[in-house]
Parts: sequence; C-alpha cells; structure tokens
Amino acid sequence: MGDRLFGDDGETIELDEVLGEGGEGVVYRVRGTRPRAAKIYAARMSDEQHEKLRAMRRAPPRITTESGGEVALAGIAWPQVVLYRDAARAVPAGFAMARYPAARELHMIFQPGERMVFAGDLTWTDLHELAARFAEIVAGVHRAGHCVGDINARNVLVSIVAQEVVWIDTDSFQIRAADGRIYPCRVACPEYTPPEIERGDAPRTAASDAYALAVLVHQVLTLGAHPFDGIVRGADCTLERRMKEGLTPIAGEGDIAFPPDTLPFGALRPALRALFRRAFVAGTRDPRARPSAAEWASALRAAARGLVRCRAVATHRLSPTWWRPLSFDCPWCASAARTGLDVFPKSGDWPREIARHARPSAAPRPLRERWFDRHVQDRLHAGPGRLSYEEGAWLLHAAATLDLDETYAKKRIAEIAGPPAAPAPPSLPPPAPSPPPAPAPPLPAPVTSWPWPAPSAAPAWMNLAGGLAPLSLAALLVGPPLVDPPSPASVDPSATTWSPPSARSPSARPSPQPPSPPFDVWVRAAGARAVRLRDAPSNAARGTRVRRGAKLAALGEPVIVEGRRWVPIRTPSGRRGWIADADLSRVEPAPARPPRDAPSPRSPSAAPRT
Amino acid sequence: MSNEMLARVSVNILNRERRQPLILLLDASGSMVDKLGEVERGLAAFRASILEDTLARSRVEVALITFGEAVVMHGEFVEATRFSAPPPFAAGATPMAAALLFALDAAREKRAACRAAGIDCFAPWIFLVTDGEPTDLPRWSEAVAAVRDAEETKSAAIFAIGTRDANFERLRQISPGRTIKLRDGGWPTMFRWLSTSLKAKSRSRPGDEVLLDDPRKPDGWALAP
Repeated sequence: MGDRLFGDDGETIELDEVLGEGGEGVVYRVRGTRPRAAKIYAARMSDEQHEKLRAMRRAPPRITTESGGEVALAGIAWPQVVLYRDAARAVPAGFAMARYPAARELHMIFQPGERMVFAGDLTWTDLHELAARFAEIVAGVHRAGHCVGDINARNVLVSIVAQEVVWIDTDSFQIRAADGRIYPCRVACPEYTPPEIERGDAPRTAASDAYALAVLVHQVLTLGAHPFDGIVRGADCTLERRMKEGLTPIAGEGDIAFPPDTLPFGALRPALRALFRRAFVAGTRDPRARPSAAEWASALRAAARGLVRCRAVATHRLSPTWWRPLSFDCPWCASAARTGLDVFPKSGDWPREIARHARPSAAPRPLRERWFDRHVQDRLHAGPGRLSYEEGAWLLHAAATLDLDETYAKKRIAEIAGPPAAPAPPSLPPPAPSPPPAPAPPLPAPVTSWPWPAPSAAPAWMNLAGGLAPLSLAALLVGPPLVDPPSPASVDPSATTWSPPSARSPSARPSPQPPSPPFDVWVRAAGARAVRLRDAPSNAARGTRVRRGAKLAALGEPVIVEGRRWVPIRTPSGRRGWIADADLSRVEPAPARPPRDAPSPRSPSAAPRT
Repeated sequence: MSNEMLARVSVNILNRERRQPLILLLDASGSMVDKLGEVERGLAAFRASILEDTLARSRVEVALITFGEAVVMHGEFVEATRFSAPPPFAAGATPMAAALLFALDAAREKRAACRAAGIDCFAPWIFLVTDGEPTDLPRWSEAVAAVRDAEETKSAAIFAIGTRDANFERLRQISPGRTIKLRDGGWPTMFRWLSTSLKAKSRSRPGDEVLLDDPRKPDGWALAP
C-alpha cells in the first residue's frame, strides 16, 4: 500500500487498505479526510476504458433528492477523478469515487435471515422507501442519457447508518458521451435480463433497465421472491426459460402458481401491483409497456405513505384494504404463524450498532456477545422457553454471522430463553428394520441431533440407537417425529419448543402421530358470525366456513397466537386446519336448539381444555 | 433407502436465493482413522471460507454423509452458516455403493423440496472422498449405472477424490471426467478449492458449465494420476 497515484484534477492520492477485490481490479481506501475509494484495474486499461472514464467525468447524472431538488452524484459511486500511474498522466490506472462506510449488498437487505442480523429494525415501509431511492438513482442515470446495464443485487449497496443507497460498479454502465458516442455495457446478470437482450454486451435501453429494476423492486418488497418464481405444472423449467416465455404467476393465467409461503401478491399496494403487471405481463413482449424508473420511484414513495401499522405487532406494516381499512389481515402475522419466524420482529434501534460495523464478525467479542443476547431477547415475545425451532435455527445463523461458536450460542439461548423443553420421546414403535451386520459402534451421536444436543437426560430412544439399523438411526438423530398438524411450533406454548420443523413440501410429510388421540369437539351452536376452518392459527389465514353445531375431531392442544387460542382440527371429510377455541365446545349441543336470540349462558359450554 | 429420513429433506422458505446443494460423501472406514484430524480441520476451513461470502452462504446448502460402519447422514441439508460437522469417527468397511445410491436419493429429494417451494436449484454436487475401494461390490454396478444416469440428465455432478491408496479404476467408473488423486497433505487446499468453486458455481446460472480452477496445476491439491 501507500502507492501514490496522480489525478486528472492535479491532486496526488495515496492508497490505503484493500476494501474489495473483483474480477477487473482492486478497490482501495483512499488516504485522507474525505471518505473516498479508488478502483485500480489489474490489467492495463484499454483506450476505450480510459475514454469511457473521461466521458463519465464530463457527464455526471443528477439524482433527485428526497426534498425534490437534484444533486449531482448523490448515492452513486461515479468516477470523480481519473487516476494515473505517472505524474505526466499518460498511464491510466483507475478512478476515485465516494466511499460509503459499512454498506451492505442489497441481497442482504431483502433476504430476511441476513437482514435481521444487522437491520432488524427496518420495517416494510423502510423497504419501500429504500426501493424508491434506488429507483430515483436509476431515473437520474437515465435523465443523463446513460443506462445502468448490469442491474443486480450486488451492485446496489445499502448503508443503514448513513440511510443511503449507493449504486456501485458504475464503470460498467452504458455511457452516452457528450459527443453522442456510446460506450457499451458488457456484462449482464441473467436473473435481471429482459427477453429482448440476447447477449451480455447487447445495447441497452432505459426500457431494459426498467425491466431489471422492476425485478429488483419485486425482490425487495417480497423479501427475495423473483417475479418469475413459481410452481410450474408439468415439466420443470429454469428461471431463464420462464422469463423468456413470460411465465409468471403475476399474469394470473398459464401453468404457474405463486410459490407457497411468499408474500401474497394481493398484499402489495394496488398501484404497485399494476406496475408489476405492466413490467412483467405486458412488458415481457413490449418494452414500451414497462413503467419507467421515475414512475417506480414516485409510486413507491406513495405506497410507503399508504401503509398502515398492524394492530397486533407494532413493527408490522401492511397495505390497508378497502373492505377493512384498518385491517387485521396482517401478512406478516400470518407468515410468522406459518413459518415460525417473525421477519419484522419487535426491536429497538439497537441493531444500528451492528450496522455500523462493516464486518460485524470482526468486532470485539464482548460487543458481539451483547448483540447476540439482544437478538435472543428480541425473539422472546411468547415468553421464556417459547422459542420456535425456526427462531432457534435463525439465532444460530445469527451467531455464526457474528463469529460466535455454536456451543456458546446454544448456552446463551438456554440461559436467556430458559431451558428448551426436551424433545418428546417420539411415539415410536421404533421402526425395526434389519439389524446392522456388526455390533453397533459408538456413533457420533448427540451433535447430529439438530439443532439442540440431546438433552442431558438422553431419552430412551437415544439408547436404542445401537439396536437400530444405521439409516433409521440417522433418521432418529434428525429429531423426533413431527407433530401434526401444520407446524404450530412457533407459538405453541405446550408443544416441545425445540421440536424440529415440519418439512414444508407437501411430499415431505411423514406419517405423523398426533400428540394425543383425537377427541371430539363441536362448533358452538350459538353465535351470529361465520365460523371458519383456517389454514393457519390466525384470523389472517384463509378459511372455509364450517356449519355451526358440526362435530369435528380436535387433533391436539390449543395454541396461543395473537392472544387467541386455536385448536388443530380435522373435519369428518378429512380436511385439516385451525378453529378458534372460543368457537368450539367439547360437549355436544342440545338437540333442541335454543331460540335464535336466546342468551346463551346456559348453553353447554365446558371450556375445551386449558 | 430410508424414505422416512429423506422425507425430512426440506428447504428454508424464507430464503428465496437459488440453491447450490453440496453433498460431502466422506469415507469413514477404519483406515481413515489417521486422516480424521485433517478432515476435521478441512471442514472447518471450508465452512469459514463459505461464510465469508454473504451471497454464497445463502445459496450453498451442505449435507454430510459418511460411510464406514454404516451410511449415516448427519443432520439435514443446511445453509452454510448452519453447517457444523460432527466429531469425526471412523470404523468398519467401505460401503461406497450404498453411500452413492443414498446420496443420489438425497440429491433428488433436495431438488424436489426446492421445486415444491418454488425455489431454483442447481444440480447438486456430490463430493466423494475415499482412501480405499468399495466393499459392497454386489451393489456396485447398480451404483455406477445410477451415477452415470444422474450425470447424463444433469441432475447431479459427482466428483470422485481418492487418496494415494484408493482404487482409481473403480472411481473412474463412476466419474470418468472428475476423478482426482489427492496429494499427500492436500486436504486443506482441497477444501479451499471446493469453497472457491462453489462460490463461483453458486453465481452462475443453472445448466451453465462453470470453469473450475484446475487442481492439477503445480500448487494444486491433485497428483497427476
């Protein structure tokens, strides 16, 4: 380091530590008071590269600011100074640009598992604003006559601390020089490339950028789902094929359905849904149909203003619906009930401490330990000892990203969250396949019982291990059998809190045993509201009506979600789901129904169970 | 094969990134006892290296299967941050054919689970490392046929790595193109190579050929066979 380089504006700069390395060259910190970085090319720069940099210097884009004004180069790592190796400025080496400390690549923001580690306090509204911001930057680039070209989630950095979005890799942009010459963009990322761009170095247009931008916006708002993700009926086909053919569930037709467990399309603001349809349904064939970057920016700002707060969890933001302007139908509550993990957890702004570190794993250990403790505390809404399996797994992931070892992490979780309930001894009849050929050796047992080591009092089935065939032993070590019905692990205070997750794919449901034999319940006969059998223990979940007075089978203990008790239910026709405890009775209703408006205190209403 | 176990192959639906599954298929027969330390250090270095890459750690999913006394799948496919290798253990024979068939089943299940969740999935890599030869020869031809079929349909890519004493004739039968002889003490380099290659692969598009660094170059981890 300490290399001296000569800028085209007459200054001399010194390189400091390496910030990153790419295919083309190395990015260094520039010594000095202004936060700047320098990209130095590994190979000798071609004449075209050099001229392109000089053209970029002369034609910087102006970016709209939040207050409505325009500022040159806000949020964009544009070449500010062209650097040379010699004082005569004959051998170009690279360029200097603004540096944004502790910025993260955009994919770390939209993937909840990563975002919650260092930016757990961001809300869905913040994500809208963030998307609006990078749309504004693209709009500024377009106004100057350039194209971004290679739009992808690694080229957008987000600095949580500076509350700024930064577009990097600007030297790959397609640049239109003042004299009208076009310097092409030579790279492309297939997940963001519109169908009309056949090759990576094809000429770009504002419309091809608009397509890629819409993909990125979709990923940010849906926490990572690609607009062409889906379940395809018939033969499997790759994402690139679906993009080429315009096969997207957004179209609402064709052999593709929305992937399960993603944010429902209907949960987006209507204006945004319309823009996505233009971008991917009409826009697949007709580039002119796609909304421009400026349209995205203003629609996203408006959408962010239109979101409301969930009534149950203050950190959830949702789009209100016309039939229920202050809706209880929170997609994030529903998602938490379904997946066991709240992706917008309650937390203060303490994660900003983590966000301030470019590499949290390199922070002093006491800090990392404190952050991890806060993470565990943030997950304890349901009370001590009530972590779901998924929350536990996420916490171990967070520990790994903070470079804390698993043993330590599990110890802290147990200390803060209370001891995990021992996994229920599986209601095995242990499958007894043929015994192993030789006497079983001591196996590397407990560590494999994910995610928690076997409880100190190893249940009897652990000791059976030696007598079982190896493969089924491995199966046992993965965990006890799953509890039917659809994963209430997240919220079930009575269930084993660290029970493994039920496999999510429909094919992957092993023949489960309910924890207790099913018992009969009846839908309460009295009441005016429709009673529904819900897909998940939440009023936000989809439901089908059940007849009042109907006899049903309860499959297990009630669980508490959002302050209500829900009972897992199977109907006589075999359908499964959840019904609120308040709507059920364990006693068969009297055959002669009370008059319709008779008060019901005397109706038989033994509470199901506590 | 134990369907009961494979029924547990699932996918973290909150992570929508494309997946690159990796099955580490490690020999745990009695003769491996001396090399366990190297394997353990290699696995730790492998994990640390994947963890550094914030995108690869969301895309690479690792499952560890050992074959020795028995074929054992240690846990499930997990994202690289959640991967932790069990304490090493070696004893018994080398049921390589059973292990390969099992790994192919696991690979198939993983792809099916991804598909059911609407998540894109690259062809899983099966990284077989052995110091001997299969002892379950009656199933060998079945295993070879299954592996070849998986390679042809691009539903898995098999790397067959042998130490100096391994039976390379057998290894070449399962993976003619990717049979590599491991240099003595080459374990750390091999695992580093694996993580670098996975990082490159996880960024390509499904079906693309990715040029991997040649392990046979002078400072690589392979011996010319």
